[in-house]
Amino acid sequence: MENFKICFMGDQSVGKTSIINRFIYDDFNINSQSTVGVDFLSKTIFVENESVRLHLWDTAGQERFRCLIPSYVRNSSLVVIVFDITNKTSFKSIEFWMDTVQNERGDDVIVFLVGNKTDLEDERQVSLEKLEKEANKNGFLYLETSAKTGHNVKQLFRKIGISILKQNKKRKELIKPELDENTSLMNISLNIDPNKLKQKEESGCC
Amino acid sequence: MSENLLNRRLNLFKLAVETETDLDLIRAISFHGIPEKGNYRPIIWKLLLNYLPPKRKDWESELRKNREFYWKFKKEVIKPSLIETFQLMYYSESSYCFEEDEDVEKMKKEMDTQEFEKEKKDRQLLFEVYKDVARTRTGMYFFRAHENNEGYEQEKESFRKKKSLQRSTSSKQKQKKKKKKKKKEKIKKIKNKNNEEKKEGEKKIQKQNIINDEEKNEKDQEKNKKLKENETETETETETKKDKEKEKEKGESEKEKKENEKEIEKETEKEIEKETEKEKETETETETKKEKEKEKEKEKEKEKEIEKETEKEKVIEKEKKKENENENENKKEKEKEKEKEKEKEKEKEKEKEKEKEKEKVISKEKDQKNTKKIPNRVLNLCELLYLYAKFNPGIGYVQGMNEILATIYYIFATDKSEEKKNVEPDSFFCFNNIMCEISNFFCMGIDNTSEGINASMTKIDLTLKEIDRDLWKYLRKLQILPHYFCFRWVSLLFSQEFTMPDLVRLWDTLLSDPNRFQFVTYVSVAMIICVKDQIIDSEYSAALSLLQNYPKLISIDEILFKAIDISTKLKKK
Repeated sequence: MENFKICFMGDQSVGKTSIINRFIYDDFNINSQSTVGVDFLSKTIFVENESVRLHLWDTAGQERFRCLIPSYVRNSSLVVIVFDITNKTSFKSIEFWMDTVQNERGDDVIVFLVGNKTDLEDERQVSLEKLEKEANKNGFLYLETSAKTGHNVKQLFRKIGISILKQNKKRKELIKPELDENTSLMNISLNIDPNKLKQKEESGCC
Repeated sequence: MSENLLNRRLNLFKLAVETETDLDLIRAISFHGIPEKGNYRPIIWKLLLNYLPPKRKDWESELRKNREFYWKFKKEVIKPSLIETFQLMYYSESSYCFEEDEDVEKMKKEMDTQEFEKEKKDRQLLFEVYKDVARTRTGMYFFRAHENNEGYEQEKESFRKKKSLQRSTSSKQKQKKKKKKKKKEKIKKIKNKNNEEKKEGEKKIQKQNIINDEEKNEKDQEKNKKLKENETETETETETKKDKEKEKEKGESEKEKKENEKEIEKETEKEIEKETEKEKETETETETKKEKEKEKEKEKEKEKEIEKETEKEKVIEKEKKKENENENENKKEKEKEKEKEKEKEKEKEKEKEKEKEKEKVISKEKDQKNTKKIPNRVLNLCELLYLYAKFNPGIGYVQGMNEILATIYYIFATDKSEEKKNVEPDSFFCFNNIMCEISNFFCMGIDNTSEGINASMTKIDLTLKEIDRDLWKYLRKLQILPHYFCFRWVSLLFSQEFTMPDLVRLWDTLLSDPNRFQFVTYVSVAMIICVKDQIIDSEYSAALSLLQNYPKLISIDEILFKAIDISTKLKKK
């Protein structure tokens, strides 16, 4: 089974932790603690007859913690940028988060734009059309979810699984496995998997 | 702990605190935990955090000075308008948005841009703080923001409904304004034409046209009002059944507001018409030029009384009407009939107004009752964090501070002595002092220096390597660094990792550490070692999840025992 790192980012209290909690525990807690630094959770999903283990890095949205994020983006197969559809500012910040991603990875990563809190439809400030436009401009995938009701959360992770597998197959065809045993610690790349696979054989886990 | 031993320890605390405060002795004995019995913890924490001076005789004056400063500072920084905003946040939950705050429009007009931006930042800061306070230690009844407030759910619902109504009506109001503007422009154009045509001697015909136009306008306005009222009614109908009644009340009150405005306009117009007609009568009786002049003067005085320019213009128009009406007496009679009808309407409207006023008084009383319901500690925690951010603008508010403050506040608020009533100023200064020592963890700029949080986490890595090489090797093989899970441990002094009783016990030790907060490193390493068996059995994601969500079953005593063990081992080396 292959592991894939996914990095969640976006302004504070847009619902990153809540989306992940809905996915992992199928639960919603309006009073979930604010994320300090980074949280880690993982879950295995089955997509297209394959099981995929997702490593979810839930980063803190507040400005003080932004310096931590690049190192998590660096090692991710996919980045999810979350904003709150009832908060224009969080939508505007997408640009900032995109820059963070591009500085680390260029265009070499799948990006998902997620508008959360569709349960607060009557307080909506960002229309689906705007999200669509923003996503198409950059070739990103997009979806609207509600962690509170669970709307589209499963679909989000299904789509994540599908696109990760697709990308992985492409890569395997493009890059012939080159075994490099001296990978430095801060340069873990999970999406190009030959190294990782070899390590797993050695350690005998999974 | 046997009773005998406990009594001996209590005696030690009594000796250390009450007879002659000896900080070294206090550190030594509270390092192993402060007993619940005897209520020593609040006072010892205050001593350890350098809030109370070491000499007992200085306590009173120092406390008085600090507390006075706090209340003064608070009064200066937290203005009544901010508390009003806080109430809005409390009831609107996560959906508070500065742009929709009721008095934003007013503030925009009254303040210059700099002031306005400052106010905006302040309110956003308060909201940021509030959101985190509302979700601090929600497992404890003490900290719950809403559960112990009866009727919170009801208020929250009605608040949200109010907001969505405001939004829909504000868009309608904009439309109305546009319509009104257009009408005014039309009227002005017509008036201008009239003035020109007067000179040409074609007055009479044109004036009749104006009257017709005006009548049409008035009719149109009435139609519009009716339409708008219908719109709001349909809106309320579409909303959920449960809250129908409430919404209707609110919808009505807003409709009434609109009607109020319209009524005022109508009334002023009608008053003007009345006056002008009285004048007409006198005109018909005497018809002398002098009297006309006098009347004109009177009219001018009346115009001054009515300040609005548009209304003045209307008066002038109506004067013109009189002349026409003298010629066409039939029209007069018709208008008189209309006026009678209008007067009847006015009376009805007045009755309505009285009812509205009564409702307003009732709703105000309701508001006052609700503000009393906001739990004091929720407001206090928000105020304290807000004040800290204002007191230390370089650091501001960082998420997680709420957890640190909550611990201190909890200890002082559950003080069994008289000091409990000073929980606010005492928490403020103690929080401030503790933050002084760990503020490096809260500054992005210091992160990568030798004093920053990255250095602390590297130190944990190195200490683990020295104490338990096998475990360190295994974590390295999994490619798990302390940086992935220790950030929160170190920066928040473990306040998100443990339950309150365990955390308080841990803090007894951390605060008593003479080389504060070196012990944080040892505790972190001890925590990793305490789950060694589980880590060795798991792969990457399980191991990291374990460390990220530290198991609650591991007792704090076990961790502290290990941590002390580590510190003595390192000292020997």
